[in-house]
Amino acid sequence: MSLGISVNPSLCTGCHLCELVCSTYHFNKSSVELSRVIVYKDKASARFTPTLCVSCPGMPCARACPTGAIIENKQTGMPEVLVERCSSCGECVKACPYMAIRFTPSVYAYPLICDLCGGDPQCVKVCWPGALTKATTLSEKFRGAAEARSIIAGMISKYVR
Amino acid sequence: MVYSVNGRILHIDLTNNKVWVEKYGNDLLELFVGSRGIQAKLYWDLVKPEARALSSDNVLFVGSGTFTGTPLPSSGRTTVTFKSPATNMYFKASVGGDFGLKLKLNGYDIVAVHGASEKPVYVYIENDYVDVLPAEKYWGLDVRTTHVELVRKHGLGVDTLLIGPAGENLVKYASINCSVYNVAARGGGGAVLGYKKLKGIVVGNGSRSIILHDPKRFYEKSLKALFNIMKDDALIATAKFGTASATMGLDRTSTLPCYNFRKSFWENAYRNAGEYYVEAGYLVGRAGCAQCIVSCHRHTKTEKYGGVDTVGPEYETSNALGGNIGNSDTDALIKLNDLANIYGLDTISLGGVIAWVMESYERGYLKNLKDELGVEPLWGNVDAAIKLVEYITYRRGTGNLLAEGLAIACKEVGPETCKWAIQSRGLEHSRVETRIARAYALAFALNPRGPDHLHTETFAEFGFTEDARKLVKRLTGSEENAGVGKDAGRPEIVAWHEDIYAVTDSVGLCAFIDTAGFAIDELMLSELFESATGIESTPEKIMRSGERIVTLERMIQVREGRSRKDDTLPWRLLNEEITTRDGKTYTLTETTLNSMLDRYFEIRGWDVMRGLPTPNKLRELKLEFAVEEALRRLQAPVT
Repeated sequence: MSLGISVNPSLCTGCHLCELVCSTYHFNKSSVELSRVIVYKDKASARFTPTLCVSCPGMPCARACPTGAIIENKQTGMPEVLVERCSSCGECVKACPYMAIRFTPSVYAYPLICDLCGGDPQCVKVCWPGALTKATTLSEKFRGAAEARSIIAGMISKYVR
Repeated sequence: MVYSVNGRILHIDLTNNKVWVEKYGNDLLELFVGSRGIQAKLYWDLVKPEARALSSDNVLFVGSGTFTGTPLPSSGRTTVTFKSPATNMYFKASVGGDFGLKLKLNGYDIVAVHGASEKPVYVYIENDYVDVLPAEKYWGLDVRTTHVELVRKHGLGVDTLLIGPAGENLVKYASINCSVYNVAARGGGGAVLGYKKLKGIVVGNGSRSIILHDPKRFYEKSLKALFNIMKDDALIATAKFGTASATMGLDRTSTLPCYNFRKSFWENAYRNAGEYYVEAGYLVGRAGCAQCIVSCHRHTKTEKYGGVDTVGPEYETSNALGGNIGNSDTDALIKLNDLANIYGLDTISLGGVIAWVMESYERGYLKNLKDELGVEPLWGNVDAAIKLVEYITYRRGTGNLLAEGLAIACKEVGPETCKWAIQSRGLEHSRVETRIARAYALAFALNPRGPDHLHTETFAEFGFTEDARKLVKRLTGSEENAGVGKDAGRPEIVAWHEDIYAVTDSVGLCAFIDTAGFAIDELMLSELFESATGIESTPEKIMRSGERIVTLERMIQVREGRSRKDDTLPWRLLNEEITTRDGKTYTLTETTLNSMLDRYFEIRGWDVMRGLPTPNKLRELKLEFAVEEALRRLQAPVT
């Protein structure tokens, strides 16, 4: 089983290509709102970071789900949303410690969580700047995710009033 | 059904406070490819030749490319089209950033801004919700502050297109800034919006999807383009050192204009070079335009000049406000670039104006500036340059005249000073020595914008890479024609670049990808276009569309009064010689330029004496609507 994807925010150039590739791969159409990677940007300060599921131990998203719609995918080790059980309540989004679940009900009725494209993540393939790479160690992966989280928190406190 | 685009144009009339959507179909897309081409057609239909640039009759178009929003790398560029207050003619500017992507994801390909508002306003677009909102509280604020305030109001994830104080004050070279630091700089589009009292446009996150005709094939081709980009030497250098990685190559080939085009190389050039910004620790990170993994945009910082944290400088800025004004202080360069960013000024014109001020002062003109600025505008005096930026932006004192641009300012100060005012047709010249790089000379003379690079950049002329030399061979028959200081094959090089640029801009691709690097060729362009839109395409057909756009743009300007006599360059470049670092001297005379023009018009199949597309050529290109105008011009005497 792969270790998943590492995020390195300082290398992100905010180009959104990961998002467009993600949605094209999964949905055959391209839109940032259909992507399982989420790019946060503070353009005025030229700070950017992607965030995506790092499959936390204990899966807080699954624990928060009132309908048991999130299970672990045995093949990838990633959380998987069973849409037939999902009530679109958004509890998993609140529970995610890395703000890595996309949920825009007007675009897609269910939460979108990274599935590693079944093992060959397209976003990693296209990220020439190197902000998204295949993780080599778990500690590297969680360090990157935590860094992304603090950058996003900074943006929220700057922009969201 | 249209694919890859929304097929929707959003019209906003600021005079009557009206908003409507116009739909279009594959017929328009097939003929004009996308943003730049379609907007040229809309301009032909909607902007009367007699309309003044700063009036409510001017219509400004902002449009995203046909590939914008798809998974194709580096195709997020946006085209802005308007009548320029600098040249009084049709003008298109190209800009990166996210605005085009977000506009498209909100369901519109193009926004057309008609009329003018009485009070400052901005437009907010979120899918089907479009509103014209008051902007009094943002009027007067710089671009960065306005962006931050608007994101606070409308939420993280929105993007902005804005003008700064320079645009509000109708500076003739005021820019339009997208995503804060991506600038549609040239031609004074900022002043057009300033006149319309439109502070900017805010686009929401956008919840639409781009539907491709054949997503699988398109995605395959996109990945192929991606792998080509990652192994292209020119693009690797651009990714690493930004566009200012060009500085040293131009210095080496004596095509780096310094001291207002009196020198073609400079001992301090390295201070204006992308490699130096990295080496000396100015670079904090990189910033990418939408979809662009090359991400040549620089995030830079300096503690000096009160602390600056900004994006840039690009190559053009590095030279315009660097060697051009004798500035080897990189910290000051970063400061000047940031001021231009936040005030909303075109750095190329700004640098041209400041260099002209410095040369004029040296020659005994504008002596009042010493007292006015409190500092002498001598070569390399960055404090004077910083002061001048403020004076121009706010039209203070002599700045009021300088804000009009070189064509007007030099006449006022003394007609003899026009000899070193490096402008033609009202636009200040881009940063390359056209007496030595001759394809650039021809391209600049023909360019509908004026003497500018980002319309037909014939970078291959330098022959810096093997791919570039191969292209020159393909276009001219011999690899020997690559390199500077040569005239042979220039018309062929220019015509090809004009055509591919028109397509490249229209699909939203960055011209670096197919004309500086060579990651995408005509075949791939046509395959991408076909799989994206479902419109049958071939390399010949797609290049033909490019020719159609170029020809239409010429006809628009013909209708606005342009003729062959306007296909010229600044006085200094046609009348003074330039010395290279090896001590060779070059002159570019009108005779040389004219013989290149003759050959160019011949290749185009245009009327050579008039530089006019012939009625037959127009019919062949399916531009029948312009035939009547061409016939009228053919009957008039040659001027």
